[in-house]
Amino acid sequence: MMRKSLTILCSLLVVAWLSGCATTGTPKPVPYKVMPGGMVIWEDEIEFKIPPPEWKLLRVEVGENDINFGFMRSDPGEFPSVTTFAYDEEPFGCSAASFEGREREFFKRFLFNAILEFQILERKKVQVVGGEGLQVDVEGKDPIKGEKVRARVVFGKRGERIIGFYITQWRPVAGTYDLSAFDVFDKFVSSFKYLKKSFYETL
Amino acid sequence: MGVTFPLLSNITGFLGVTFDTLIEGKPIFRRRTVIIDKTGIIRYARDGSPDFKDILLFLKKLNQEGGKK
Repeated sequence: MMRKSLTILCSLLVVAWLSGCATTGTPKPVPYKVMPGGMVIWEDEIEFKIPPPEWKLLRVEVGENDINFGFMRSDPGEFPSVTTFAYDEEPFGCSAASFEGREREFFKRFLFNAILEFQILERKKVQVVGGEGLQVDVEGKDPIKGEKVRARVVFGKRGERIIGFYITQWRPVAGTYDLSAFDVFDKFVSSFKYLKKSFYETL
Repeated sequence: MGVTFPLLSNITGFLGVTFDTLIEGKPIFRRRTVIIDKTGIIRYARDGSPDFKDILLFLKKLNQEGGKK
């Protein structure tokens, strides 16, 4: 009798455990729509050209309701061979008066987890999201870890606020950069369009 | 930073005690956002990370109320 009760109890526990596994809830809806022609509409607010399939979507949960996402690609070669690019509504810093001021603030915190010696490779004015912007190319080296990174940061404006795009490509210090990834990033940035005013513009 | 309003520095922690954000049994404070109107009445209090959009919308509403008076 005791044995039978134990068998029934174990069976019930297994059923309960399996039911738990089956009820993981409905998946969260994705915040984007893929349109014909390879364009993506993000949260009905932004339109951009989707990068090639080897670029995986990367979402940054900042918890402040700002749009913040990017794409990542693993590159051939030794660690840390990876390329990431992103759009950021709140790039580091607070200056809104000039791109140069924001650039100074931004680079104090950009990639702050790594101890890098940055060198500015190029700084130029560009057109971005329908207005004037600033593009800064840098290279950073970490001689202790034997790693390096090449990055491009593009500052633009949405209303009165400064927004940013950036790409980082990490390599071992003796590795070779793949600059074709920067072309993908440039296409992403140049295709970027706002479909409606931001929260701050309507405030 | 170029801000045009006064900032409060609360180095002794008295404000955290006044606003009841001290965590019981621990010498640390919870994060709380409080908005006080011009007459000194607390009009908004939320725990956790500040929701900037919510705060700005509330301040706009408060400003509009103030303009009517």
